[in-house]
Amino acid sequence: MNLLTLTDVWVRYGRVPAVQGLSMHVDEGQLVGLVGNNGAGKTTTLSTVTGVLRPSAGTIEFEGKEIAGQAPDRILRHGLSLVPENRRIFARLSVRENLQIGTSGRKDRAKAKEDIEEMLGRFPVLERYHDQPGANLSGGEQQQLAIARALLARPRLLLLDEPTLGLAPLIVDQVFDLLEQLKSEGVTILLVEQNAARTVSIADRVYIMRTGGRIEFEGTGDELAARGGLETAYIGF
Amino acid sequence: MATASRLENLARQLWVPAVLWVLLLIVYFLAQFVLSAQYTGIVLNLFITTVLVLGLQVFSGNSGILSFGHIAFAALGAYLSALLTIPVGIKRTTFLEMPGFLKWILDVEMGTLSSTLVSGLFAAVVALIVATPIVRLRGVPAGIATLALLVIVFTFNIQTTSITRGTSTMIGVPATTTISSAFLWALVAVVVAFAYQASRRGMRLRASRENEAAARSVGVNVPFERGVGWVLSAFLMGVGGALYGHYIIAFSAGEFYFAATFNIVLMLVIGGLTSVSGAVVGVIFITVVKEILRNIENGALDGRYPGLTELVLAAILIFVLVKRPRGLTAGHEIPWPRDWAMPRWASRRRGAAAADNQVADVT
Amino acid sequence: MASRRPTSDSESRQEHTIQDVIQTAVDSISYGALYALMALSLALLFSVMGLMNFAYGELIMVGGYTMFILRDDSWVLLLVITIVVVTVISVLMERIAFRPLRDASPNTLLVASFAVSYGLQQLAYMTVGPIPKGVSPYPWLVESLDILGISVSRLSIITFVVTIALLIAVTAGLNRTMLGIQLRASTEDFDMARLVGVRANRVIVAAFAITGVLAGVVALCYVSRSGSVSPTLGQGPLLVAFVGGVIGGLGSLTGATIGGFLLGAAVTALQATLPTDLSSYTTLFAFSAVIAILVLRPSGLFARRAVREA
Repeated sequence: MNLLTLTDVWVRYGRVPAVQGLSMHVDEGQLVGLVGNNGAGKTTTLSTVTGVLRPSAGTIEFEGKEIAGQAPDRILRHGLSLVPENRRIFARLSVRENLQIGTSGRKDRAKAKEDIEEMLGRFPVLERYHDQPGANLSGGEQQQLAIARALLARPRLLLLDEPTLGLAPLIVDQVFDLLEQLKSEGVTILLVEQNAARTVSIADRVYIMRTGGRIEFEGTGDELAARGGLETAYIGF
Repeated sequence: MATASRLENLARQLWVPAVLWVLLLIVYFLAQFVLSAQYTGIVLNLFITTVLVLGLQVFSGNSGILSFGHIAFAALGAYLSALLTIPVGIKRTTFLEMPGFLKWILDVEMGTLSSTLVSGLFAAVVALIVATPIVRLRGVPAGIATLALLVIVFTFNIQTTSITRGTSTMIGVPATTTISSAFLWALVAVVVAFAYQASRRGMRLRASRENEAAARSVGVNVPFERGVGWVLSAFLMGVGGALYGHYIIAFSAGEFYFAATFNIVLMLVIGGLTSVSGAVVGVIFITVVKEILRNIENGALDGRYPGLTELVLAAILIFVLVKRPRGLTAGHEIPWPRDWAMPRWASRRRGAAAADNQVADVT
Repeated sequence: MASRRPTSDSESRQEHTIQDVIQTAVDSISYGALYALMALSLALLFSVMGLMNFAYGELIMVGGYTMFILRDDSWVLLLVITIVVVTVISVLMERIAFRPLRDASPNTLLVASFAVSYGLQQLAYMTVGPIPKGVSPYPWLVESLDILGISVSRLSIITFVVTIALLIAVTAGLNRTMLGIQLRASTEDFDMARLVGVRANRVIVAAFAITGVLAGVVALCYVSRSGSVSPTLGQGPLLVAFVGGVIGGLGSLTGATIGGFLLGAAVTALQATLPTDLSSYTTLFAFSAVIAILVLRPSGLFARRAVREA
């Protein structure tokens, strides 16, 4: 079943169209990868889905409901949670407070409290530094915090924007392991990445995006391989 | 064909100052030949204010740093020009305690034009002296620093009664600012502000306004460019202050403080901070609205609600800011006629403006 | 701190001087705390929504006039209604003037706050007129209190206790409650806060309500001391709190509060100890120092540099 469906979405910065007629969808329970070069329009796409940007045309449906143009805090309450580019954790808030604020969109306060403890148990690093300001964490630790914060909203769909950017290779492995783990737990994920090979390897389906938000390829990893693999797709056929 | 397009280029370049000149000319003719004499003072004030707001625009519009200190330069201009032009006889009996280093000024009696120019230069020199700290700042701290400058100059003017008479008004200042001279200075100010904005220097400063890091990376010395704008704008403020002094004659230090500052800042932001057109439009718009309201208050309402004008004016200003957060001109110049089909500042709806803001978030 | 040279050898004069020094010290601390509350309010609004609210001083003016109107009623009523009225005006300010400007630049917001400030002042001119009105404080308040043989004005003590209690309460609220955490997150990165589900309207209205309550208390303490209200009542204290906040660092709630406290205390002490003339030239040097501090530490003296991801 389609959880998220974008149909002919256009996004402009002033007069410059950054995304031109994008259509894509994410099915429930799947991990969908969105890869492409710098400036292809990946972040713009995520910003539009999460309500930071307003599309100038097209529809964005989540569970069949139109969400395009709604405010970010409202879209979150529909069940979309974002792990943004550069993590953007709250540097002056403690680790625990960063997690607490992740539950802002929830009504079940008591359960949310339990979930925070559970999340601390799941990420030992966060447990260890729970009363430290977020600024004191390393990049990889901050990435874990950002993912934990997003998960605490209990999203139906988790959106990640380049979660491995600027991280050491070992940490990159950890992040991909975590994503696979989340996938096996049934979390639906839309992963935006520049690390295309790794993304293809764990994704159920991938979209390859070129400048202007145009979709160059759509399908499974096997289908991509059948058509000559990533290199061909990137160069274009 | 080539000549035609070259002509068009030239015309395009002169278009904005020309339109603004015509606008001011219309106001001037209305005051001289159509409106009754009671409006002469208002229009005269409008022209002086145009000089002051353009002075502010030269710095704030191009640098993006809103200055609350510019009225200080107007104060310096007003006082110096007064001291240079008051008849020697009056000066000798009025300024009995003039400090030694300024004693010479008691024997000087200049013409207004030269004293106005000297006052502008004086303001520019003072601006140059205080520029070093100011140009290093940006954003809110820069605004506060300029506000501090205003407080410092005001305090000096209030306290140094031997030179400025403090809270007492000046005596014997010649009333030489006429509607025609103020008009001519306003035209000059338009040209100066526009020439600077179009110049290489102005362009560099505007680049730093849009993106300081990027401007630096292409070799723009941002503090230096700010300093140039700062000094040039202080010159216009000094001239405007001198004109103002010779218009109201009896002024005191309080004339050049918060009220005057807010007045010119409001006019500039309402008109559109980042364009010369915005400055002129802001002055004319606020002056006209104020007069209409005042006429209603004193006419139809018979003065039963004193202060109503100001209250309604405040409401109108907020309304304009809500509808056009970047000012009436949205910070753009008056567009060339052929571009009117789709003038950017007219087609800019709220959504488009919001999208503009969001670009900064994403990139 | 605020020392005054003994002017005479006579014992009684000496005692009188000590008395003055202590009264001045108590005044400085309690009114410093009052300015700290204002600076904290300004910093809260500034860091949440980029608004430098010049109309904040007019909230104090509104509080002053409410006190003037209620001057003959019971003090409980006066306290409660003053705080309620100021808070309501603060929230209305947001609703009418600042909410439509949510996405505007700080410059536009600043100018809008000028307009609001100007409008409220004019409203005061229109309704109650330009002549200052007397609000004589309750005699009980001005009575001196004997502490260890030294008499100190009761009002100063009350101001001190109330402001410190409020500072503690606000700090606790910001640190312990969900709304407080959301507010602090919004001061750091408002857009990200919205992305994790913080409701923009809710935190901003909360910020205006909290700063409104604080302004109400400031009005009660300040006007009780000054004894009169006029349309421009709020401008003086606003300027001090504003500059103090900037020196401390408007981007940081703690920094701004400390800055407001120090400048407020210094101003109160200077007013009490220096002859009028000199105190005015002191302004000149104080503001030169402000410029120097801004150049050396643009984000404020006490603001920790915000540590951002690389």
